[in-house]
Amino acid sequence: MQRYIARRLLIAIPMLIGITMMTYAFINLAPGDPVSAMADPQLTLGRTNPKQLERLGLDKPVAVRYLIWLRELAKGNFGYSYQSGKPVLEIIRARIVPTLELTSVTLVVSVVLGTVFGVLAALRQYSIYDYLLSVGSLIGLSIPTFFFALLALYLFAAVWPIFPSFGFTTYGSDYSVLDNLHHLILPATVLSVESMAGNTRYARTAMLEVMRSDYVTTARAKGLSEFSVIGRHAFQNALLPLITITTLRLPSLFGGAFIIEYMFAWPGMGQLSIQAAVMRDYTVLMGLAVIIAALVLGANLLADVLYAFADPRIRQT
Amino acid sequence: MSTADDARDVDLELTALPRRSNQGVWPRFRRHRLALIGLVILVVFSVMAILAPWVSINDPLRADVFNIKTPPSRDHILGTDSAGRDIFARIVHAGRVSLSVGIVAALISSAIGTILGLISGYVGGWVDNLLQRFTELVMTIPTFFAVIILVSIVGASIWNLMVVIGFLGWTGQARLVRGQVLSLRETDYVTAARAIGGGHGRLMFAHIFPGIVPYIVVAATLTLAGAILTEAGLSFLGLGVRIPTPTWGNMMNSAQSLHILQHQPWLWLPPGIAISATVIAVNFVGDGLRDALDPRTIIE
Repeated sequence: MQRYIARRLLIAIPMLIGITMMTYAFINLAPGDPVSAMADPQLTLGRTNPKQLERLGLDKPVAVRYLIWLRELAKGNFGYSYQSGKPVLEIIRARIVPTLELTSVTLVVSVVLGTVFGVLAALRQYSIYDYLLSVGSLIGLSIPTFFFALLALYLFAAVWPIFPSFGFTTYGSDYSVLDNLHHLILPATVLSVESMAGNTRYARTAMLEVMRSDYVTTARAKGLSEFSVIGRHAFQNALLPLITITTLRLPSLFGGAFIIEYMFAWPGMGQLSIQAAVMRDYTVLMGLAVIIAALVLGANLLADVLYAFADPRIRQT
Repeated sequence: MSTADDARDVDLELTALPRRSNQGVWPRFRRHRLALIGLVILVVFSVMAILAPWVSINDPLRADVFNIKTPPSRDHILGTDSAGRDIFARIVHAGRVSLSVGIVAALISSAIGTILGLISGYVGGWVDNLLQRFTELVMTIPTFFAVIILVSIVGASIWNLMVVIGFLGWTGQARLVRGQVLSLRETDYVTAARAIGGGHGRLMFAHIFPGIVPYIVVAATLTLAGAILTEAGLSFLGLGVRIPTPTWGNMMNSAQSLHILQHQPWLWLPPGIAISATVIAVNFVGDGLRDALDPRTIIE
């Protein structure tokens, strides 16, 4: 298993380098250069001073600039925000915890509930429950997250105001866990629904697949109790593809969090990236791309380890 | 509760058959009632979008300062927005933008995904390895985030949106096509074609490609649903198509205060329902197609 994990780790490193290359290439497509973005537009009158370009290293070829940027990244220097002038890493660091709080709560809720619903649907295939759940999850996948958020805000913040409509905590008050959770409920619920709808469908398919397999028939033929057949033989094996799919869906979970964070003024990386995109603050966007990709890759690694523990075939190698 | 069960019965019946049944696609699709409903919704919305100037009497761009945010009335059946523009006219015209951005983006994604998947699965070896790693790389960055970055760089014209969303949404399609090509490549009829001297191009496009068309079509419906949602999300945030050009997403942009949410629901509810209905319809049609095109459940 150690070899397996080591191999996954070795794959993650070139992936991260690939991400930095792609990010750098994207941002280099951006019109204008950092000099004109930094300078006072009234002073430069559209002409870029060659000396200034040289001072910032912008006269060098792209490949060299990329390597310099990479070297600085490795040192923890993500550059400075065009807009506020603060170090990018400092800006992003403050945003990581709120995003992780929102996404991890959503992940746990949607995976647990989605799996339970999906497995129950698979066990009662063709029943009314199965039918309603299939149609319901398809509808859940189809409604845009922001529309669902507007409906939730309309019902639970405007018409029947039991939840705050924005923020991480109540503005101006000291941090308290309860207050924070109170603010978390609405955005986390909205984000969970879409994710849960997908998980339900995957869990149902995975479980149906397993229930058709020969070893389940064998287990039944041996006279094992239905509980043991489903719990020990079927469910444990259905979990394996679910781990893979959950890993694959992590980026889309972050993606969904962007809009939700923005709408609920949740001070995470999603809200930051939309603000940065509106302001065209490219250094912040670059930093975010690298950090988010690193988080996703890290989560993938974690899932690989989990998978190795869950799958005896890998555990023993 | 016979709707989906019908489709699934067909499903079961056909799983037992060694080959695809002779029964046509349409009769099987027709038995899937939700898919039919979805198809009707899509046809109605498309016709409304194509015939937009004739469907709505009012001009979607004409601002009327004396009638700002008026509730639904006989003149404006869905009311007016914050610049006094007719909401119904905007919904109908927005369909043109939202649907065409979604359709073009989905076509681009499907084309890229199909070509890369075909090459990856057929050629194999280091080419496959490289393409696979590249696909994983693109999948690591959340699509919505990548779209936001790219659109902020190239600008948010309708054409740019189509291209950007299209160029970032192909990963699922590529993986699916690759998987299918891998299994088809080893089938007897492909081996036979190779044995009688079929070239690579002929094997790929005349023999393998037709076999994966159903999978491509079903996956394309999912891609279409995703593209419509992405455009809507971007425009809702004000990063996509700019006002006054109406799209369903940017029409809801005005609903950013609890006051509007609660007291002027005609501003945000109709476009929200339009997007939801469209995407639900696309997904229902996709579900029906999956049952109709192939007896096995091909993708989830």
